Amino acid sequence: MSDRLDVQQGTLVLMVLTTLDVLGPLHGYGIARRIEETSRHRLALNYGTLYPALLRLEQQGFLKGEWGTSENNRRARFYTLTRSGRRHLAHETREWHTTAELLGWFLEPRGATP
Amino acid sequence: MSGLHELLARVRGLFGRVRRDHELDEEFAAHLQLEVDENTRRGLPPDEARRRALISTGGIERAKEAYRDQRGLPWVDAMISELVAAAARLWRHPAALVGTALSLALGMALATAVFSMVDALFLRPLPYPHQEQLVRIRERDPKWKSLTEYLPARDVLAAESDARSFSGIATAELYGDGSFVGESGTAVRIQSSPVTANYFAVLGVRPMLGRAFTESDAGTGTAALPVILSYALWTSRFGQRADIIGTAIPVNGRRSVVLGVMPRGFEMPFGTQLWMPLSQDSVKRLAASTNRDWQYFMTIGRLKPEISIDRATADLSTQFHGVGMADGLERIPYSDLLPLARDVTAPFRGEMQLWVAAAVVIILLCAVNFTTMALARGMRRREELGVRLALGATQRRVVAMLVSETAIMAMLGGALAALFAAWLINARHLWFGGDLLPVTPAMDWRTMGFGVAATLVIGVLFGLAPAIELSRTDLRPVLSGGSWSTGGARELRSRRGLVALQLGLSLACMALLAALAAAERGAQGSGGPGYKYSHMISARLYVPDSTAAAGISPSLLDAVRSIPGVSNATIVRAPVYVAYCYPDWRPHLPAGIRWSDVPLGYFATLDLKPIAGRLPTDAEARARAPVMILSKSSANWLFHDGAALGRRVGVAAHARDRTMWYTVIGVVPDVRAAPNFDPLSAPVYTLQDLPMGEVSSQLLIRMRGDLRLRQGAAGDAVGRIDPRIVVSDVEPVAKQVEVWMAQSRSRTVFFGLVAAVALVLAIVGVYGLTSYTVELRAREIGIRVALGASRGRVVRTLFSEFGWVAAGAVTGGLLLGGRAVMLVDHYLRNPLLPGPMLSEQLAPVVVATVTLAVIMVVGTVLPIRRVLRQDIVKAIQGNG
Repeated sequence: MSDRLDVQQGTLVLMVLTTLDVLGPLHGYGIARRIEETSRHRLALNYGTLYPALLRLEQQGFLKGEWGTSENNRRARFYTLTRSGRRHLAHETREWHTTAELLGWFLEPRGATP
Repeated sequence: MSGLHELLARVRGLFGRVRRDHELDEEFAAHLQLEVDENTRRGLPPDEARRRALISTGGIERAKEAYRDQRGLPWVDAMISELVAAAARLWRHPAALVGTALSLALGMALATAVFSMVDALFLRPLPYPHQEQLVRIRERDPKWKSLTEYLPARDVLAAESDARSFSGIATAELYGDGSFVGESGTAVRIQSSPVTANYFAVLGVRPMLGRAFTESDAGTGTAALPVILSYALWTSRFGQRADIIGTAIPVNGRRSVVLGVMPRGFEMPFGTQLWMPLSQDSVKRLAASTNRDWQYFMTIGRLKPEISIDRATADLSTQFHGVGMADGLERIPYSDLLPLARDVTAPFRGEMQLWVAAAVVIILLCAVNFTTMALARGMRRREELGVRLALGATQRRVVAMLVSETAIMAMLGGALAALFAAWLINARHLWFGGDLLPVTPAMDWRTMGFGVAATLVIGVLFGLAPAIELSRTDLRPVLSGGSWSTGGARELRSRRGLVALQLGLSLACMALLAALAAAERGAQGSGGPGYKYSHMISARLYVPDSTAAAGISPSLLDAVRSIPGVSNATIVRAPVYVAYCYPDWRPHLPAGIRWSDVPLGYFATLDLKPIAGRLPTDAEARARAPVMILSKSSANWLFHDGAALGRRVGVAAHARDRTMWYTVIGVVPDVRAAPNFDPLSAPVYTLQDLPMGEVSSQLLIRMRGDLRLRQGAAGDAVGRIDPRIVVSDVEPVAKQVEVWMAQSRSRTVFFGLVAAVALVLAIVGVYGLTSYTVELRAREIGIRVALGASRGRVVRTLFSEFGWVAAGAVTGGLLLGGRAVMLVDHYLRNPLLPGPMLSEQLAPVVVATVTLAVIMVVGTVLPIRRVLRQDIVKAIQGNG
C-alpha cells in the first residue's frame, strides 16, 4: 500500500496560496512540485485535483493566470497571487490555526485539557 | 463577493469552449513535458520518464472533465445537451413539431398582442412629471349622479380659486369640430383646442421647439393668432421645417403665427393637433353670467404633493356648493376627481377587459391542447419509452427528456408567437375598436419578453404533467408485447378534466367571438349605411366671421344648387351631440342619445323618406317649429310601444341645461356613417336654427350623373363661391362610408378567423384525447368483444365515460359564453342600434357544440374500429 496521502478537502487552497505567496508566480507543475516537496512527498497531486482548484481560485479572483515561458522554453500558464488572494490567505491561515488549536484540545489525552 | 465572481466567471466559461479547451490542452502538455524533463534529468530513460509522468496525471481525460465542470455550469451544459438531443429527436417528426408549436403560437400571439395594449394603456405611467398628481376635474349631479365631464366657466373659476388642494389648474375648451389649417381648397381640418396660458406648465410638458403661451398671447385681438402645433401636424403638414417658429400660417382663414411645436406623442386633450390661447378674460366673461348652457371646459388639476384625491374632492365640492348657492341652482353639483391616467384610458377599459378575458380563455385552450398533444405523442412513442425505462433510465430522466422536447416546441412556439403578435399589434384596428388610441403599442423588448417567457412557462408547465404521467405508467409490459394499462381512475379523471376544459373553453371562446362579430355586423347594418351615399359629395366649411355666417348660408346654398349636376344641397352644423333626451312618459330618466340639429334640406339631400309620419314643412322650418324626427331605433328606444308620433321628447344638451320640448312628427330609417355622424349613430333630429356658426359646418351635395366627372368641378365651384369661406376635405361620401364599411367587414372577418382557429384547436385537442383514451384500452376492448360484447355496446360504454363530462362542459361553456355575450353587449354595442339577433350569436356556438360532439364520437369510434379490424387475440395480447 502506498504511503502517499490524498489532499484533504479544504487544505489544498491554503497550500496553493501559501506556495504562491512564498515563491511568487509559478506554473501548475511548479505548484504541484512544491506542494509535494513541502509534504516530504506524502501528498500526491494529480491534474484532476490541482487544475480545477487553480481554476476555482482564479474564478474567485484570488489568483491571476497569465501565459509565459517555462524553464524548458515551453508556453506555460503562470499563476500569481492577487491582493484579494493575499487577504484570503491571511484569513484562511487564521482560521486554520484556530481550528488546529481547537482540535488539539479535543485530541489531547483525557485530563490534560486546561 | 468571491461567490459572485465565481458565478460570473462560470457564466463566461460557457462561451468560447473551443479556445478554452485548446488552452487547457496546452497547459496540460506543458505540465507533462516539464515532468518528463525532470524525470529525464534524474536519469530515467525517456520512455520510463514519460510513463511515470503520465501515471502522475491521474488520467488526463478525467482531469479535463473535472476542469470543464468547474469552468462552466454543468447543469446548463446538461440542459443544453438535453435540448440539442430533444431537437434532434423532434426533427425526425417535423409535422408534429410545427403543428404543436403553431397551435401554441396562435393563442400566445393574441395574448402577447393583448398584453402590449394593456401595457401601453394601463401599465405605463403618463409621460408627465409626477403624473400621479394630475386629476381630471368633473362634476356630478346630486340627484341623478350623472357625470358632467366638461365644466361650465363658473366652476372652472371655482376650481382655480381652490388654492388649498391644487398647485395649478389647466383648462382647455371643447372646441367644436376642429380648425382648418391652410388656404381654402387645400386646407385640412384638424382637432384644435384653446388652452389657458398655464396649460402646458401644469401638465409639466414644454414645447420641443419655440415656447408655450403666456397670458399676453391670449389678448392678441386683431393681430395674428399665436398657435402651437403638435409633432404630427408639424411633420405631416410642414415636413418638420426647422424654421417653423414665427412662420405665418392660415388657421380658420385667419393669419396665425406658430409659437411652438410640442414633443412627439403629446396630443392632450386627446387627439389635439393645434393649440390656441384661451384667455382668462374670456372664461371670466362667460362666468359673469349665471347661465351655464353651452360651456364646455376640460379641466385638469395638479394636486399639491401632500393632498389626497378625497381631500381635494371635498374641498372642491365646497367651492362648487358656494357657487351653486350664489347662482340659486336647484341641484348643486359636487366634484368628482379622476386620476388623469385613468381618465385618458377610461374609454378603452371595457373593451380591454373583454380582450383580456378572451386572451385568458385562448391561452388556457392552447395550454390544454398542448398537454393533449404531448400525451398523444408519448402514446405513439410507448415502445421507445419502455426501452429506456427497461434499460434503467430513471423516471426523472424520462421526465427531463420529455420536458426538453416540450421546451423546444414551446421555444419554437414562442418565436412564432412573437412574429404573429407583431402583425396583430400593427393590425390592431382589425380587433381593437379602431386605431384612435392615446398611446401607440409596439412590439418592444417588454412585449416580446412577455410573449416568449409566457409561451415557455406555459409550454414547460403544461408539458410537465403529461411527462410525469407517461413516466409513471408501467411501460415494461410494452416490451414483452403487452399493452399499456388504462392508467387507473386518477388518470381517467384527469383526461376527463382535460376534455371538459377543452370543450368548455372553446365554446366560451366561440360565444365571445360570435358576439363580437355579431355586434360588428349589427353596427354595420344589414342594408349598409341606410341612405344612398353613392352620389354624394361632402365638404367642410368654415366662416371666420360668425356675424356674416347667417347671411352667407342661403346665398351659398343657392350658388351650390346652381352648379351643373347638383340636384340638392344642404349645410349641416357638423357636430352630433350626445344629448339628454326625456320621453314624455318618463320625464325624470334621461337617456344619452345622439342628437343632430339639421336643416330641412338634410332629409332630401340624404334621400331619407319617412317610414312613419311626415317630414317638416317649409313653414315649420322657417318658424323653427319645435318638431322632431326620430330614427327608427331611437323611436324604439324612447317609446317601447313604437307609437312615437305625436309624443313629446325633451332635449337638454347637458343634464344641467334647460330642457327644450319637441313633438315627434316623423320616423326615418336608421342612418349609419352619414358624413356628419360618427359611424354608429342613430340619432334624433331637430330643426337647425343657424346653419353656419363660429364652428365649422358641413356642406352635403347630392349629384346627378357620373360622380367621377363632376366631383372636381363641384369642389372648385364651391371654393370660388365666397372668398370668406374656408373649404376643406372635398370628397365623395362613398369614400368615407366605404373605408368605414371595409374596416367593419375586416373586423368581422378577423373575429371569424380567431373563432375558426379556436375551433380547430379544440377539434385537434378533443380528437387527440378521446382517441388516446381508446388506444390505451385496446386490450380491454379486445376482451369485451371476445366475451361477446357487441361493437355498438363497446362504443357506447367507452363514450359514456365522457358523456356526462362533455354535457357538463358544454353547459359551463355556454354559461361562460352567455356572460361574454352580455359583456360585449354592455361595452361595445350602441344601445340605440338594434341588437344582433340571438340566432346570430347562438348559431356559431351551436355549430361548434355539434362539431365537437361529432369529433368526440369520431375520436372514439375510429380507434375502436382500428382495434377491432385486427385480430382480437392480438388486441388482447396488446400488440395493437
